[in-house]
Amino acid sequence: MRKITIIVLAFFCISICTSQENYKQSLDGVKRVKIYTQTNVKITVGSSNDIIIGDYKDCKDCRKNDRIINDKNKSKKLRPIYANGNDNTGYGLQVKREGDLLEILDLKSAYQRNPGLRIILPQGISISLNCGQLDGHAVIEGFSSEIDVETHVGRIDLIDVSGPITANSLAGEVNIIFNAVNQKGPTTIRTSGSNIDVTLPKNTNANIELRSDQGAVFTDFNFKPIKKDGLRAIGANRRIKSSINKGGVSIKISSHLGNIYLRKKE
Amino acid sequence: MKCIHIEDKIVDYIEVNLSEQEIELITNHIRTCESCKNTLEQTKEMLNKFNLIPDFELSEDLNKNLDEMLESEEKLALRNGIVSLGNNKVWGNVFKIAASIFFLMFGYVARGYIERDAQQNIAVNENQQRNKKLMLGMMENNSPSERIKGVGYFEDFRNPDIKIIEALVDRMKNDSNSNVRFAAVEALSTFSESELIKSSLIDVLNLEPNPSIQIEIIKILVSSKDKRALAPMKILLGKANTTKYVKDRINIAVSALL
Repeated sequence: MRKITIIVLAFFCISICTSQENYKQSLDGVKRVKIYTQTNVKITVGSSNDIIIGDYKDCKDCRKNDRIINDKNKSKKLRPIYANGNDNTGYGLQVKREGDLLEILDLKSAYQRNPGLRIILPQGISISLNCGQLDGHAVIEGFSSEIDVETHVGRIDLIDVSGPITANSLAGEVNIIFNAVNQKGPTTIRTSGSNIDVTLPKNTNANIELRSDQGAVFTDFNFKPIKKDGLRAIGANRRIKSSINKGGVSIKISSHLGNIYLRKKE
Repeated sequence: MKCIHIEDKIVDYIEVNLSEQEIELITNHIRTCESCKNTLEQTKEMLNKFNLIPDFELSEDLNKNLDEMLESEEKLALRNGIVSLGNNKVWGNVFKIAASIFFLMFGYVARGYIERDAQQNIAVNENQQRNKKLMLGMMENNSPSERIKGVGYFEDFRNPDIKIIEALVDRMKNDSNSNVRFAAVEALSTFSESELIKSSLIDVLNLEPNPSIQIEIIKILVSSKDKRALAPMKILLGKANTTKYVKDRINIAVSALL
């Protein structure tokens, strides 16, 4: 009887693990979370000291995947295996802890993970997010810690952040709204083929460098007085350096093909 | 012994460089001669002041230049028929003392400048050593922002050593973050005439996946007019995943280098 109970419990655990909809882990002693995936990701602030990873069900602009049909009956009594690592979470993730760094590698493809990952992290934790080599976009909201984020074609939206920010997209738009600018380290925002739109509090102290090789640069900060559409066109095809207010931390913004918009937050 | 002989030997008398007999003669003369007594007191006072000036050793180059200068002045004086003051022992001594004061003062001032320069150099070196340690440490940090900050310290080095250049080349080739690689390329571009940097830029051109960084490297290689860059550019031109604007840039670069 005892053996039967253990077997039943084991099957129950396996079924829970293989079909779980969330992954949760305590972040005690962790200062930085590094996530590598191929899909869309949205990260917001949670109230606990845990990382919670689930499906990005509320994504309004994620591309729908209708090519792959996961027939759960067919995979019954089987477990998924992956080419690029071992799933030690039951959620298609390989999680590795090294000192105060937690590394998460998403083992599922963009199609399998579609529409994406919805992640909740505690305030104050540093975030490294790489959305891979496809069209995964990144949305990160409400963090006052360091954020570094890379996408290939997908856009980057950082909302109510204070940095330092290191953002790079090959061809996606980058939109960042700062609620304050951390003076601890430099911020660099780059894209090769799209526009960058950055909003800073009007009293920000910073040394700014703006560069668009083929696009134009617009701002309502006090750079150069050439008016165009309410914002000032302050240059094209060149590097523009200026301090704003009292000067301070370095903020470098550059796009090869796109325009740069640097706005004051009212 | 006459006063003129006493004045001639007064310094040696003070420094006890005379025979016992001469010392006795001068001592006896000074007892009875008010003028020589005054000369003795004045000379002693002046020598005491000299002793208060710290010793300063002229550099070998400066000594050599000084000797050459004096030698040429002596030749010029002979040629122009300038009368030596050597015959007049009093004026001769005054001239020697004045010249000594001049050179001592010159040495003192020169020493001040040299010491100040040396202190500045030491401060610059200490600052650079501190920045080097800081820079190398920061470039290994988990935070990309810290690594970029570390790369930024490169601006402080007028003559960066091989260890710093190698660390930056390593960032440019291997950093997982595109913005850190971009910052490393920008930093290295300030010393693009260095052979190590040029060959590293050529090596990395085909490996770098980011189009903005590819274009930045192409610009640096074109400005350094290194034709070795043509081969990797042509390979990049043939790759299917090279973006159109990088290919356009390469076409311009190739015609500039040919």
